[in-house]
Amino acid sequence: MSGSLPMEDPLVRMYRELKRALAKDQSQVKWAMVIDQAKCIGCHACAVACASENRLGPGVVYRPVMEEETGTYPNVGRRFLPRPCMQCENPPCVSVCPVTATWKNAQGVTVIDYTRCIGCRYCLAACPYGARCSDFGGFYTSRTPQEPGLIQGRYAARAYEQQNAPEYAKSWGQRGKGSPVGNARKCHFCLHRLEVGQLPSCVTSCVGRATYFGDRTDPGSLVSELMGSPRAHTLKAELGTRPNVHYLA
Amino acid sequence: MNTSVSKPSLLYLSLIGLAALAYAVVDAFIHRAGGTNLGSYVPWGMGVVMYLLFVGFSAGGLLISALTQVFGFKDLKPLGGLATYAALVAEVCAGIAIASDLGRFERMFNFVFSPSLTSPMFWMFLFFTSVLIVSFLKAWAFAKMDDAVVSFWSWVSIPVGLCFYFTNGFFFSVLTGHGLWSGPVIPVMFVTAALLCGGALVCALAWWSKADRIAVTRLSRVVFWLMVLFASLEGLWLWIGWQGGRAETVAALKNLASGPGAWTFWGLHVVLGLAVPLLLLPQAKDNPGLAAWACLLILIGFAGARWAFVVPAQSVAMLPGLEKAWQHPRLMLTYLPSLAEWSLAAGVSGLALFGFVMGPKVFPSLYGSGPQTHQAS
Ligand code: SF4
Ligand code: SF4
Repeated sequence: MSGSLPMEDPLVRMYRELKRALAKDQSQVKWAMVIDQAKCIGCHACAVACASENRLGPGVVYRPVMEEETGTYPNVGRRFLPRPCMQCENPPCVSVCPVTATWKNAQGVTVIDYTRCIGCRYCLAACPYGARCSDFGGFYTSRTPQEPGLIQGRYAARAYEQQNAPEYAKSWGQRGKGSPVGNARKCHFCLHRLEVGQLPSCVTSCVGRATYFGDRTDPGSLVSELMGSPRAHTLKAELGTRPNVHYLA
Repeated sequence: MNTSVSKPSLLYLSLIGLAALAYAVVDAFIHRAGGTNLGSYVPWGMGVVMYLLFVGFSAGGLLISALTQVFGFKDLKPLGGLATYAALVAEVCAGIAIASDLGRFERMFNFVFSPSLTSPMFWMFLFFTSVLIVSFLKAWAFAKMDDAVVSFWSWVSIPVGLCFYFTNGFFFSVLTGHGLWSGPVIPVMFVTAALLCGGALVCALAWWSKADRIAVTRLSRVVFWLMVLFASLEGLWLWIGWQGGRAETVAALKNLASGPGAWTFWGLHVVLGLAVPLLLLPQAKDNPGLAAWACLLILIGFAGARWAFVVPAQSVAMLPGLEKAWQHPRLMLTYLPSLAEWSLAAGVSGLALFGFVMGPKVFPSLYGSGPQTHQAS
């Protein structure tokens, strides 16, 4: 194909690879993510898409995008660092949980059982990436004015807020009435989407095409290819947590 | 300087505390952790501070058992029942403080049904329960005046208690992401702090309940040396953190020393809880009243020490800029307790005061064979 023609959108390739991975024995699949900092434009679309996908309540965020200013005037720059859960191979958050409410699943994703978690927040303190949140309850619309007939106020918006979080492909209690309020919560690579052949929400919403996802045991996958790049590194590698989220500097 | 245990003002004060506790407990049932000002970057606050404080207060039973059984301090034997009772009261207060801090306290049975042996918190729970049971059995034996059984449970309480206070420090020392909390000094410091607080509480209570004045002054000398040991360990802890030079640890130390809550460390802990008692205790050889007041200052000062240990360590972002990436009051690095949390602090303190005021009346057998009427000079 001519070099002047547009390249294949990485999303198309990742969907093809996802299909391949889902056809495999699932215990052989290991999910990984690569984030290219040079391509991230700091639009926060992934953070918002994630909050919407997982019905995250106030004060709960799975993938904040950090901003860093570099250099000194006039040679200045800005760098962005989206931070999902690193899905560590050696996760400090798992070993500290007193009630085995969190563990690594067969595909290497650290998951939480919302019906078992006692909300002690020990895992929050143990995670060296600040990747866990506690859901303290509440609604975004708590102080929204309510003026029937004039504005679509609190009750209309709350109906949306009360919808079940689809996480882990289970039906959790309505917000404010049941789980996961009071629990620890975190990014889970959108396992519920993967199950039905969809890429994680942050990947599909990434405007800069800076987030890549796939099976790292597949040598032909885009993530395997990028993880081998000399630009690839992980955060706080010195701690020995062995993250499955890699960054391209 | 001596006061009567039935002093109505202390009882009224404790009743105000109990009303505050009722408010805090109702709030915890309605809002769970939502009634606190905690967040995801400062996940532990007043509940953990009060838990650690009262856990320390409960170590008096262990200290007296160790001193009488292992080190042969026979003249401290009259304080055994009182120390055990104080340990029980303090443990109940610590339990209430930490249980109401859980986001899902109704699932606490999972400690039993799905335990994780790799978690220091599980071991803490196990030894907390063990100390509670052993203290109860020991108190029962004291009430029955059965010396052999008292001796048996006193021996049992020593390893169980040491494991418990050790696991409290171990709980923090494994959190390598927080430079200020991690490291091997912490568990040793926690054991020493607990023995110091427990000893100080027994000393103060013994004097106010008019127990044996010789035992009070003898115990105050042990408290003095425990305080010297604790101050050395605390100095070592801070020094190692500073010398290590890790940016996050140094930032947390700066927050501890000069941040918004620095007065709790310098004013409450260092000056009121360490320096003043260190000056007073050597002069209290024949003055149990002075020793008791010095011990009371240690106890008050430890509230500052616990705050300074728990809160500043969480004032540094795990990754630079994290607190600015998604803004919400639950995603900040600053923390001030809510009304419900202050109520909890006042409440468990009130409950403890109520227990200590009513103890000699309700459980006279635990307070020895009747008060001795030596007055402080
Ligand atoms: S990033 Fe944090 S929450 Fe995620 S697996 Fe690692 S330690 Fe656990
Ligand atoms: S908050 Fe939940 S998942 Fe985290 S350590 Fe506590 S019980 Fe385990």
